[in-house]
Amino acid sequence: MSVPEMHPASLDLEDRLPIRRLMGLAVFGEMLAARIYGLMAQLKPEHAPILRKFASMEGQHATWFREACRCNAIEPDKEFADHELDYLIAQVNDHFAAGDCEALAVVQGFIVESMAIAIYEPYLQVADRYPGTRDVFARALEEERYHVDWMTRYLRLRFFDAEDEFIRLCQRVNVQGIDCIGGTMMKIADYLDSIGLSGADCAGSMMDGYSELLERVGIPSKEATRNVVGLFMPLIRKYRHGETIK
Amino acid sequence: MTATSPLETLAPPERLLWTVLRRLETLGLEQYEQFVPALATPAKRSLVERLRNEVPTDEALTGQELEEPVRDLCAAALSDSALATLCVQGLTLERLGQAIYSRLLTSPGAGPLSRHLAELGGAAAGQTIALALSELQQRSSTENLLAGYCDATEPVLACFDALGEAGDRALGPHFGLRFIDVLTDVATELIGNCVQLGMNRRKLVCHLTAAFMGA
Ligand SMILES: [Fe+2]
Ligand SMILES: [Fe+2]
Repeated sequence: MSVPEMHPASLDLEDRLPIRRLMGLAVFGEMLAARIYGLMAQLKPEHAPILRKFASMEGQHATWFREACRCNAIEPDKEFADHELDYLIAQVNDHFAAGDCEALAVVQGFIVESMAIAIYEPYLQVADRYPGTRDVFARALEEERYHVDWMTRYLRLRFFDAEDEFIRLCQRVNVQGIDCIGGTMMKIADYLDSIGLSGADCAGSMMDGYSELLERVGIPSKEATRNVVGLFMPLIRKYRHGETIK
Repeated sequence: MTATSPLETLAPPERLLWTVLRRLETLGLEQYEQFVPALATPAKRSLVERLRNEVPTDEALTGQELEEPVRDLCAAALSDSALATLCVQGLTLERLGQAIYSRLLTSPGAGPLSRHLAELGGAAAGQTIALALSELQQRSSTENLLAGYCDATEPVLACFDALGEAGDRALGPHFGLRFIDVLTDVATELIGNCVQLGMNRRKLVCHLTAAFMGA
């Protein structure tokens, strides 16, 4: 592991805002992910053991990230994360109250995981600036991919020969889900730029990654692309014009 | 004005829209003639001639909010090679035109003449895109199409935002169109075409995202 160019503590508070907010989102987002897999386990007793395992993996990611933050004197920005995640929590609560495990699977297993992967993957290139973060983000990335693979298989089996039903589910879930999670992606784009990633590339990777997952469950490529691009376009426009995203 | 004047059949927003489209179609045709003559099809030539007859001057555009974004787009779309022309005009601006023509066919603000012109425009764009795809397919084994596409289209895509903003204000209410919906059509078709040509989809999506974000 390389030595960072500058000791983190020598940076002033203003410079640390982006990383504090990004790490806040990572830590509290992982805690929320743990909760969502836990709720899914309650709704699907037949898959409860694996879903509980996923919940504990996500909880572990949060613990790793928090510890890595501590080593770098980064205080994860809870207030920012809470504000970003509130809207997602409301959706998750609604889906759980409706007993809608499939909607939770799309929101958590596809949309949230797509965002995590789209950021953790390029983060590894700059991780050495924050000692101790490379290994935990690399392991989390690997495990997020495992979660996505399992969720893809689950949704494929659940909607085997019922692509239309899956399309309706996505239409129902995507509008709110992308508005919320894609909106967060747009809001952190500048923070990602400022720590040496490309916010635009992260957003593009999230869009492409999510479209690919929809295709893998049976949505025709063009339809998946149109749906995802169409939902991101208003968010991109708001970002470009400096308007309130959410 | 007399009842036989062709312009009388176009409402002011329609005249404005067709003036913009005539500018873009004319530029496209000139670029094809210079760099990729095969794409200067009879349908494209006859469309441009028809638009020159219907809206012969820039009067409807002059002094309007759309004038500058249109001028900027036309300047950015001046290519200097066959590959750049295929990417900018053949793939991208043809798709923009096609998306607008296709939405005009069902737009409440498009009168009979606009719908007729949109049909001609859509058919000409479809032919040209097919030819552009086949030309690019032939080049795909010897040229880096993704790099060529990204380099050539970056300044053009950068103009879309200002065009969309002015376009939405000037034309949106009349035609019931939003530029982001047109852009969604364009991006969806473009991504499909570029993947078909062997370009890496993720890199292309990132290129489009960065351009639309103004990054
Ligand atoms: Fe995680
Ligand atoms: Fe995960």
